[in-house]
Amino acid sequence: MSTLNEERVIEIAKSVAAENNVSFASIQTAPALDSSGSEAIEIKIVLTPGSANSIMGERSARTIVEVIRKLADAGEGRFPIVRYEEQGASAGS
Amino acid sequence: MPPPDPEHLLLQADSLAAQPHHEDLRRAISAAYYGLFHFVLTAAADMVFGADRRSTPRYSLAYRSIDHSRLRALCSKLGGTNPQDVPFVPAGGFGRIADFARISGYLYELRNLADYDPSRDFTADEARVAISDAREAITWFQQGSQEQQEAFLALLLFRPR
Repeated sequence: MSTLNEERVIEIAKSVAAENNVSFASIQTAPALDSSGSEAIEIKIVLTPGSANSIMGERSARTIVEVIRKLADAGEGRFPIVRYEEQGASAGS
Repeated sequence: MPPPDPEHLLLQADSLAAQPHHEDLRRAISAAYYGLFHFVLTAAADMVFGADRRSTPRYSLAYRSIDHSRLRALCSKLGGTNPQDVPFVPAGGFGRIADFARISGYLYELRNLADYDPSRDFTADEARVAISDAREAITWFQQGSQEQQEAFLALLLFRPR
């Protein structure tokens, strides 16, 4: 399986998020496993405070679709599991 | 008995995403995926036997012939700009149907984490985004041409020898 380095993955995700006017503070990656147990990559888009509502609908979906497509086109073999988290939000809240 | 109503499943997901417990958020994400899954099963079985045959055994057979792994595998093939390892592609490509496939594959993975990974946490925003992604994907599928929809559904239903 071919993989891109972390910097390249983040660069692609940042460019997609910017193209879709997603207001993000940072983008982080972490290793993950997909449903078949294969290596995957978690891409966390940390949203600026108060911006979560603005991505609902096409903006979020378009960002996910383009991250998947552009990483696949760049030869990334790991499936990207994109997650959004508003800066300062805590899980389960 | 008609098949599950995808919109009802998404409304159920909305309700769960408004609850405070992490179990509810997990179930919300799962319901968002299942809304999408039952949407595509209905589209496939409707294509084969027609929506007016939804209460027949043959309709149920077509409906139940598609499992999650089959959908996931097809969605993987449509991840990049150029579909990989599919026996045919519509003349103008898959268009918005490919985007539907990308979201379907993504929500399948998210749903697996929500259902089975105790170490993964979820926020209410994450659940609400997943539900909105499911709704958007269904809209995209409906915006595909008849040829694109039928090509995707045929690839989902039938496998070449």
